[in-house]
Amino acid sequence: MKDTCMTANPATPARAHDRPMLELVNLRKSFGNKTVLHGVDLKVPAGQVVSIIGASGSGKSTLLRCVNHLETPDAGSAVLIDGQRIGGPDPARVSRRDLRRRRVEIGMVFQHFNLFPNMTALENVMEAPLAHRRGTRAEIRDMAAGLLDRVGLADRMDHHPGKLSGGQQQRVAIARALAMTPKLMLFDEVTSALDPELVDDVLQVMRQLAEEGMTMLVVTHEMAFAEDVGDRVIFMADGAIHEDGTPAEVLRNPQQARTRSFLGRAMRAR
Amino acid sequence: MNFDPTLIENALPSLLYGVRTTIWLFLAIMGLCTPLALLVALARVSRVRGLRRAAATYVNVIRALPLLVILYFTFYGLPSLGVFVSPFTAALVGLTVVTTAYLAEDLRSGLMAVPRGQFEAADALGLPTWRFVWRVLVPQALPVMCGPYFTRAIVTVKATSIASLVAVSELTAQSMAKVTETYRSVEFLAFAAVVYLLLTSLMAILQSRVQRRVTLP
Amino acid sequence: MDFDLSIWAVRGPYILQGLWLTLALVAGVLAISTPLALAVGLALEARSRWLRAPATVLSWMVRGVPPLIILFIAYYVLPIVLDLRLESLTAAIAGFVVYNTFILGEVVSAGLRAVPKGQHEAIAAAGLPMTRSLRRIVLPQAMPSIIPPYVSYSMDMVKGTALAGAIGVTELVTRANQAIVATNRPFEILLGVAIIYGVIDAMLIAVQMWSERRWDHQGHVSP
Ligand SMILES: Nc1ncnc2c1ncn2[C@@H]1O[C@H](COP(=O)(O)OP(=O)(O)OP(=O)(O)O)[C@@H](O)[C@H]1O
Ligand SMILES: [Mg+2]
Repeated sequence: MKDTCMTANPATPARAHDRPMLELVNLRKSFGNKTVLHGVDLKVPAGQVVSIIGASGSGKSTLLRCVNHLETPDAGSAVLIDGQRIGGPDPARVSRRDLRRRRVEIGMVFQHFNLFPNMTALENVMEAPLAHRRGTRAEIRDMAAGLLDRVGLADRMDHHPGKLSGGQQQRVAIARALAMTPKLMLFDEVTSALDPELVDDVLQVMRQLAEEGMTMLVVTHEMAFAEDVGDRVIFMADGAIHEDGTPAEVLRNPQQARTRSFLGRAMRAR
Repeated sequence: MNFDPTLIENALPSLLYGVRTTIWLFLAIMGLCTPLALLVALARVSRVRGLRRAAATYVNVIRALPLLVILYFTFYGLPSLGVFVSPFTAALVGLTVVTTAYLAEDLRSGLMAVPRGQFEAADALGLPTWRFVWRVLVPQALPVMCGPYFTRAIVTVKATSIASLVAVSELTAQSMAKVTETYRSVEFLAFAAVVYLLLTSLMAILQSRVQRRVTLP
Repeated sequence: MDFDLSIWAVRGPYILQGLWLTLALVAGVLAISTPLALAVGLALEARSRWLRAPATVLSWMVRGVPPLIILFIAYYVLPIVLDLRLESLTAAIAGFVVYNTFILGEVVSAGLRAVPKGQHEAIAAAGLPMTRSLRRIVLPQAMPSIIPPYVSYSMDMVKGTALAGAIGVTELVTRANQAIVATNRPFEILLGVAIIYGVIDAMLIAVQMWSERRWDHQGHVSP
């Protein structure tokens, strides 16, 4: 599998620094006897926005979830985050401390928001900083309110998730992930569960985040977003990276037949 | 068949003593088993396999046995281990051990009703386990747990009557003592039945009250 | 503490004879109370208020009182009301039948409520005869939600029969109690009894799993 995959030169966009923010080496994962990731190598420089595309079941979510250890990889779990290695050679034996550090330095946003329904928007955002004692309650409150303001929800802070639209909930979820000041943000199809008219508000927040220099791994079906905002596009199939390059290269001029057929279908579906 | 209310009137002090004992026994059981059952239920859904196994074994073994057998264990067994306790305490221990096992299963179904995404979100935020439990898991499981909790309380009210078989002077025992003493059964059994019915109905009313109040915003 | 299971050699046969009484009690009570529970369940869900009201009140009363009290009533009061002598075993069966009928009656009524409203409307719209549609349409659809709690309450029943000792039925646990008093060896005797109940429980769990699978295939209508 892996040998058929083309390793294009990683894109070198204008914004990217040389400092690598994330490095995965030979990441493997299987469920039972079904191998979902066949040894993925990935290096992401700081500030880069990487869009991950690919057919359903190709392992995009699993890749993201392995990065912050929501799934325990079978091998290659040692990630390099911002120049610091977290985790040892045996993925199953990550120390509590490393796990915590990894979760704190990496923020994640889910397709179905997964906000805590028993807390208000503000409480959702404050929860993790409070748990990690990132300051006094008042400081954390101000910080959380500031984040909600940034995602355009200053007037919805005291609403419970049940009272918010999908797009608003997703923006709260982004604010919640940002509250721990992560160095890397993971987005897993964050607009897929939204009504079409709500998608733009969320994408706008992500665009703003990208412009501020956040390093982002974005699994998405929004080709326009990948093209406009992304620095780099990765096409996954059968648990491996099949094509990797700038949006122009991968989306406009794909080298692989599989990428072409996928893109053909994806464009038609729009 | 005739019914002589003066019999009850004359026996009232001793019957009311039984009622008080029943209520105390019930309150003590629920007070003890509520936190214990929550811990066992959490152990049942824990990520630590050993904890999961131990809790499951406890719950399944206890639930396979008649309550009376467990009450005999504490009633006869504790003294023969050199632990001399009153029948009330022996019954309290036995009933708590049993109710905890059943209640843990009731509460577990509430915990399992909390969507997986909540666990994942907490993981992704790096929330410490206990903070997650108290701030996210339990508050969300509470509305689902309420119904089964009160149903279990009603079962427990009724179960306290079995303590009469291990020498606890609660309602059933006091009533039966009067039956033996006076050779009149109708009056005293009716009294006991009515008091139990009142207690269980009270629980049922509480149940519907509380259930109406605990819904997520 | 010394632990000596050899007393089972002496006391075992006597205790084990109680097991037959236990099983006979369970079988008798279930055989009688199952059809009665069906009737109660139907009455609880009946359209006629004259059926529903008495069934609801009786159910509330019976389920609100400990089974032990119901046994005592069956043993002490029932003979006075009926003006005849009742054996312990007969009284125990009567008491458990009453209790079980209403417990299982609620299970049946919940199962009936689980059948989608549309089915009842379809039956009414087609003008199908009542009993036939109950037997052929409603009950088969209610079965998947009736069977699991039915089996689980039957397990409770097996354990609950231990109470019959209180009115003089010398079933398993009562005989064990006699043996404890005679030998002062609670642990050995209770452990043996616990193992017996463990085996019965395991067998009933097997029945439960089998029945759930069976009814899932045949009764359940997938959407
Ligand atoms: N917990 C799991 N247990 C077993 N198999 C799993 C599990 N999670 C994912 N898989 C399998 O791994 C494969 C990759 O799944 P993954 O969710 O990563 O795909 P994806 O690319 O994100 O797809 P989609 O676009 O549908 O979200 C799929 O075949 C899926 O069935
Ligand atoms: Mg996915």
